[in-house]
Amino acid sequence: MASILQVAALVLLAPLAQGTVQQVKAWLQGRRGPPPWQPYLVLAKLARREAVWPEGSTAVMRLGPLMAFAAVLAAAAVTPLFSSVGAGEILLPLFALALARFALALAALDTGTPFAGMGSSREMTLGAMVEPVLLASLLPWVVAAGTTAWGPMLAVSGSLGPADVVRLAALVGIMLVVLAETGRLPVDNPDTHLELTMIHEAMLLEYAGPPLGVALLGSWTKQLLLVAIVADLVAPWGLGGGTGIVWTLGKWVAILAALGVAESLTGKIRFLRIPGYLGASFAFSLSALMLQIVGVR
Amino acid sequence: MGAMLASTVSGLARARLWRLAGTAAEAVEVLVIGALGVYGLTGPPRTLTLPTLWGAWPLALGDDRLSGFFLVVLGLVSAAAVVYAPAYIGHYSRGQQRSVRALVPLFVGAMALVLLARDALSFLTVWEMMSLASFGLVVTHREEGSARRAGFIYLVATHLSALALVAMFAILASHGLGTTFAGYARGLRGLAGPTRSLVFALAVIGFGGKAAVTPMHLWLPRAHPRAPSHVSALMSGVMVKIAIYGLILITFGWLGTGPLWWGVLLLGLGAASALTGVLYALMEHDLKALLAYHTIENVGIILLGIGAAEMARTVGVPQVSALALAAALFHVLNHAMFKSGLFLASGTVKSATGTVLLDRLGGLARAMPWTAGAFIVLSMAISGLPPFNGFASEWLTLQALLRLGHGGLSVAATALPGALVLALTGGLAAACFVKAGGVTFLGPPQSEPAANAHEGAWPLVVAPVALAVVCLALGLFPGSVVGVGLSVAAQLTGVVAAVPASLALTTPWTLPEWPLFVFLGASAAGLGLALALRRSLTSAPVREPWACGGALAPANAYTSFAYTKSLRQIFAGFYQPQRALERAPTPLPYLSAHVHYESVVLHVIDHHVYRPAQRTGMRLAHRLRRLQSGSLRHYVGYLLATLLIGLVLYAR
Repeated sequence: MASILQVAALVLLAPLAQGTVQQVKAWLQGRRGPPPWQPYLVLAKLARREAVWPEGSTAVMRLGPLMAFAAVLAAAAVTPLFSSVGAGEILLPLFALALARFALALAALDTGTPFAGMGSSREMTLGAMVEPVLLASLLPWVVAAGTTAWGPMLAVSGSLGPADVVRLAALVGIMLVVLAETGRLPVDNPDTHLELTMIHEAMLLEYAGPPLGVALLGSWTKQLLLVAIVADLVAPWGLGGGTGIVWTLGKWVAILAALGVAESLTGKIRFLRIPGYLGASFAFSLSALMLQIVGVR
Repeated sequence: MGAMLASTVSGLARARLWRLAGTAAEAVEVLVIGALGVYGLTGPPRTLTLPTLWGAWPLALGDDRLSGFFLVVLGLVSAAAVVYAPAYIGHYSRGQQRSVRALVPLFVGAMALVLLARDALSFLTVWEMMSLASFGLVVTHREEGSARRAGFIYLVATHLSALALVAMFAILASHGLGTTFAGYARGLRGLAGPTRSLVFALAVIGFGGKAAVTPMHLWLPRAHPRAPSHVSALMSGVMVKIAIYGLILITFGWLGTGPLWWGVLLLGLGAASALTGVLYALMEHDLKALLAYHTIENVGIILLGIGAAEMARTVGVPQVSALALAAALFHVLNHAMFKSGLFLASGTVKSATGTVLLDRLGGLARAMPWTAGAFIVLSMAISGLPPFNGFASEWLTLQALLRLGHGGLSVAATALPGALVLALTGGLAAACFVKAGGVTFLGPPQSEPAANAHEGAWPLVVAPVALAVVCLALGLFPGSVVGVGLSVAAQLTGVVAAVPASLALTTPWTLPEWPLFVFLGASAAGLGLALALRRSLTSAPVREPWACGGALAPANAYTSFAYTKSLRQIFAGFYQPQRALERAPTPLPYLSAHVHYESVVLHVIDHHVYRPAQRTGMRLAHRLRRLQSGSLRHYVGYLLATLLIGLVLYAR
């Protein structure tokens, strides 16, 4: 079925997406940087290595990355990535991503180490803060469409002008929260090696070999899925087979580049300041919603 | 009824044969309840005739779809409790065993009778019976002071809410509506607006107090942890739902459409309860108290659905109203399933280790894999994660709230924040349950009893596992339950609503069947991956974890307190934590000989509302004592004064 092909394409392109962001960051830092297909090489390297498990860990730790990956796949299956026929809806992906976070956080507590516990605690706290803000960033489209199904929402987005103030405000709102949800600066530094500054990576410290590869691929797929959702909602033109695929890939590259630029322009903020940052995203989303309701164009 | 009496009586007896008979009678009671439930759900409202064995005290009983739905919920939870109980109370003292075995069937029977009562007096009688039976169960461990205090607070709270209910029925009777429920259903719509609002307010206070809606929730976190685990399951899973039944009956069955503030009040109370419950649950380090606070949160979620239904009815969108009511009823069933499962699992943990304090447990998953598996599945269900039932009912509630965003500015301004609160509490609940499940079952054991634990006896394991399976089943096949909920709503409000077309995504069902397809697809992918990695998963080497080069001690694992520290700081405005830190210094500036750290979370409503009210009440009572002078002349004077006042006021 078409959705299986879509999901497979998403998974296969996810490491390339990660590589694109790394490339943009490298250029902004004045380096040549590794090629965009480097993450594929990382996955191949991890597949060759041997898995190692910490003493005292149970099946929960072994199944955690698998469950997280399956949850991300479930989210991707109900999101229109390449076609405009939206047969899914927006709430299931949200909650499936929450399931992925739950699975990894629970598995992290299985290690018994303080770093993983800390990462788990921070990740769940961040998740709790991000959930309502992510829902708020979708509200301008949901409320106008009167439903959470993709088809009507895309229609609403398509009916606004290209530089509509609602679209711009919603774009800023959702980009800020996507930075938080994908674990990028200013919320979490994905390239850090200092355990005390980690949020997402701390949960993965004890994994090695193929399970680590699965966990990394899962988070890259989640990142690309969120990029696709932003691309669909904010720039719904060009969805459809054929030339639509080129358009879609172009939009994704643009958003990934924007993520890279946003990361390079800021430093990491203190963990306890994240609610304030998310409040900024919420303010933008709320303005978009109010402008939408009141009907200002 | 007969089964209830029989098992109560046999519970009091000592001999083993009587005990078996008592359990059998309880099983019969549960089956009868289930049958009555299904009987009520299928077909028009009926009256039940009670055999006159009961004597000079006629109870008016009847069954309809709403009662039937709640009876099915009661039947399922009490079935689990009946299986669970004998193995659990095996280690109680003889006297405690007898009191529990006698009171539980009485409690269950009283709850069933409340659902069946069709007359104000019968209702109040069996309501009181239910409260007294549960009070008796809460003080089972009456040698513990905390249990006695909890029982006392529970008794006071339940009688205050009963007072509101008595007042409500009195007002209805004084307006000439009689005492039968049928009379109320016919006549209440005709009363004047302010009277109906008063009845509504009293219903909210009365039933809300029993359902532990904020700000009347203080008795629940004290009472539920003290009762035996299967009783906690019954109380959290069903008794608060009986209060919800009453609220739904009065709001949707009797009162007609009301002003907008009714729905806003319900939504507001629901949002407040949800947030209060989950925020205090995060700060709890006792597993059963944590679960009790989560009951408050879920009652809040149910109220969000009911409030949305009421608002939708006022604004004139009956389809959304029926949908919201079906969502609330679905959540009633779901919460009963996962909350009772969680309480039963925590009871298994308690009987294996003797404690439910999170920081004394740890590493139980190896010794108790089935209980751990059930607890984790139930945690995912209560956190509203797909593919379980909590997700389905929260999804439906969110749908109802988001559709209300169309209904005009004032409605949207209430409903959309409600949706955001629902999302926030879902995230916070997930954090809380990762903490509870992870600290209890994973990581290294933190105490001797935890290290030496064994899996519980088979009844203690089967009950939570069965409930976990039910949660998964309800999550994968939500359509039928939602259909039932819609038919209940239709019978209650008399409005048959068609499901809005925009809600049907792939099929004409109210909830599309993609939960099942997506679940199957994702599971297939996961299994495929597991097969591909089977060597890594099963025979990979096991090494020491990284602890900065030193040996990892059990105390290094993240504790329950540490896990929620950042949330405590983020919500410090709500918690008002009181911190005390004392250090005994040594000559070296960075070392201390002794550190004492204390952090207490203030319960805002308790501290700022109830305690001052209690102090004022006691002061007033002291002043009034002066009336009791002990002198006969004064008392005769009081009598004459009362007689004089009565003659003046009432003589015609």
